[in-house]
Amino acid sequence: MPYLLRRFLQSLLLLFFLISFVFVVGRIVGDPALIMLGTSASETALDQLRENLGLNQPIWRQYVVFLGDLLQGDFGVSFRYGFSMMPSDALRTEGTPVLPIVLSRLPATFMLAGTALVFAFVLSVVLGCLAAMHPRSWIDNLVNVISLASVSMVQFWLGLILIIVFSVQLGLLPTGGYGSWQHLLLPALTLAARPLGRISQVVRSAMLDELSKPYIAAARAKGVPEGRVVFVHALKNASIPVVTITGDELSQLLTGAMLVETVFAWPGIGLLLIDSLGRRDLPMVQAGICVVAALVILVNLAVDFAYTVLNPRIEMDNRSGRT
Amino acid sequence: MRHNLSIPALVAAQIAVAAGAAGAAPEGEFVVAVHQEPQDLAAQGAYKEINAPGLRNVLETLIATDPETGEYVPILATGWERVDDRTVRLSLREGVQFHDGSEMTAEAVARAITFVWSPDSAFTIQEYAGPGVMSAEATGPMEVEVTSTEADPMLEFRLTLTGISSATQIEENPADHFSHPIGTGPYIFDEWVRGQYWTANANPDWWGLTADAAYGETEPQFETLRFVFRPEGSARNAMVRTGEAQLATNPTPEDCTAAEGNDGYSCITGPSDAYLYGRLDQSLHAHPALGDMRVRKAIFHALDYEGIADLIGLASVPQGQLGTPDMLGFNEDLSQYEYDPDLSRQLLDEARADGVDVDGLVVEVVGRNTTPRVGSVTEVIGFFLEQVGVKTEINVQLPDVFNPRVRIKGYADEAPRAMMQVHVKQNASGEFGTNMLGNYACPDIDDPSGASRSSVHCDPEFDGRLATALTLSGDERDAALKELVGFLHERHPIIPLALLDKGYLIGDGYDYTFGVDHRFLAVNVTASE
Repeated sequence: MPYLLRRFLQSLLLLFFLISFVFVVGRIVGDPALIMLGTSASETALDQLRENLGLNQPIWRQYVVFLGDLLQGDFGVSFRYGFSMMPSDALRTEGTPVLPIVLSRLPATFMLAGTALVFAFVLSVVLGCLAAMHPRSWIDNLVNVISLASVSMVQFWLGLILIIVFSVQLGLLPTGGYGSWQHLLLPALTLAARPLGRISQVVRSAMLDELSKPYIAAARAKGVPEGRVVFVHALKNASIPVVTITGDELSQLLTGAMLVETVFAWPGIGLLLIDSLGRRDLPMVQAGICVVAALVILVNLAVDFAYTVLNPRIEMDNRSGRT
Repeated sequence: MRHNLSIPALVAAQIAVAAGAAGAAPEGEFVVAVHQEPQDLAAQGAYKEINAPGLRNVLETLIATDPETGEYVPILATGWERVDDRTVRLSLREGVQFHDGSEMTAEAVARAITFVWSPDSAFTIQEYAGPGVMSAEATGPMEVEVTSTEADPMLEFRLTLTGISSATQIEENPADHFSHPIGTGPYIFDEWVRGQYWTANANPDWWGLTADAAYGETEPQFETLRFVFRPEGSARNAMVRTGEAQLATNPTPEDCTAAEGNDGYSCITGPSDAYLYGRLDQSLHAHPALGDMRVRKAIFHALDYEGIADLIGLASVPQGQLGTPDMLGFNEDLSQYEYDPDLSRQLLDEARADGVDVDGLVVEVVGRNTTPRVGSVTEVIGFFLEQVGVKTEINVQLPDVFNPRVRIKGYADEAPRAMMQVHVKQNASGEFGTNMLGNYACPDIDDPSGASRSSVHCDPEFDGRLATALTLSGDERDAALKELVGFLHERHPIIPLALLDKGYLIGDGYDYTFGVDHRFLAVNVTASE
């Protein structure tokens, strides 16, 4: 079976398990009706909601209905988003469908994660290459310090520090919000810190390896400019581990955006999820987690695809660890 | 930190003179950084400020409560009278228009009230519903009668919670009612950008600009109000410091302390209607040792209440009851339980000597994680109890875990249990009666109101007296509730741990006054001297 097809089927299976996990967790943390309505809800109200949501059905039946609804793109309705109503017959039809709300928040998250990735990737390549070109020099040491600090810093804390420095002290950028490139800079830098650290280390390591190979010495002997040697010849061949780690980091960016979106009030899927958790909006939380999980799986699939494009000679079936 | 107990100014909120305040046209934008986005902006949400901060600038009520005197004062109504124990008749202010241009007639007001309180609407305001079903009917062009199906001495109070919105919208476009409030207030709703902010613009036709008496210190000074949703407290703090916002809600005590050392902004604080309590489970399923009065008394006297208030920061020591002196039923003869560890040890020794299983008692001090400083507070309570010889177990739990455990349905599963539930309760009603049901009445799982399903106490004699008190009004109700507060003080079922203050960060150049309900009214914001 071709590698990509196998990866695709594996991803589908993984998604199925994740969705099932979300369903199970939603049931074992407590009575979903009580979680949604709170302690002040009457037994009548709770019973009504259980009936409306099918929670009084056997668990296997709930599961089948849940999967059936998902196949039709129906993640249920929210009783917390846009309504302050107690449970009633009307709610089943009047609640707000959650999937369109979750999807409406995706562009903001994509914009944030995408910008953070561009920041991280570009800076990492530059820093990693510089470090590899001057091994054991002060430049190499500086890059090591930067990358370790970036990986070690807690995003939440870093975001607040950036606000204090760039917004409160220097007055250069807004403290948060959405709508212009100025609003995007601080959250994107905050989110970029961790991938910057990790990718730059991989770039440095891969480039050191490549720069020591004979074909690089041959290129230099032929008088190829150093910039071309490093950034074209060596970097291209060092790109496979870099693409791998970048793909992994993109997955992390999607999930890590939650904290950053909360600090900067960036109206993405992370802020929606945090808000929904606070409101005990179970359908919204389920939909949000499923969508994020699906995105992470898609990103990983895309990375596998990029792998085959970058190096078609690789015998996929024999690669351990990624298959 | 400025301690702006602004009650005198907010009394203004209800009755001060706005007439003659023919100042300059409103200009500029006033930005409030709030800690959460509203679920919706429906009129029913106006009953509690936390539902939708600022909504009262758009939607007004017929009458309001003077936070200083507790008396009802007119807003959209000019007067009212009791017809009988189920009915209040109100005269409406003339010449008032909704923001959509429709006239505020008796028909429109009756429709708005009935919509909010109808069980068919099933709004969350129903938690403040009385024993009967409320509805309203126009009895004249500018006269409306509000009726309950049962005798209800609190009808006027329920009207202070009821936002009056456009009947035209309710009839013709009810879906918009949840996201586009149309009221009669000094500000007209403009837009709500989900996840970011909502805005409102000054209403040039607001009735308060020309009325002889209106609420607020002045007429609106700002052309636009913007309520920005910023869940992270440090970010709200930064917004005020940078001038992005002029006011930020819910600062921490550290934010207020830091404000003292920084230029450009300050922290203002005042009492709120929220309190922190420790509910000592005394239900049928409680550990037998907690049924002994001496053990409960020992627990009450083991705690250093001054220390707990200091630890929380924006808080003060209660006067031995779950409320403040401005509330109906406040018992001024009581004082806070004394911190007396020696007395606690003595009481426990006496109980032990009589065979009470004090040494087998392990009190689970469990806090809901939405409580301020909950980790430290529960740890400190545990420390004080251990000091007098009561074993403890400390837990902090999410509402999803905590809440089911405080419902009577969950009690039996954990029996016999020894639990002190530590969390915050708000009492928006301005009197003691409403919260007594939820805390002290015998739990009734079939109670349709749901009020008593989290009670930790049961005494049929108390229930009888409470039922009687809740049918009374005015001074009679005050006296009856006062007696019940005293009765409960002696029974030691629930520990009043602290009264919570609430604060704001405010940029230099502004003064903001507020009452214990902490409703944000832009007309109470003025340029400071």
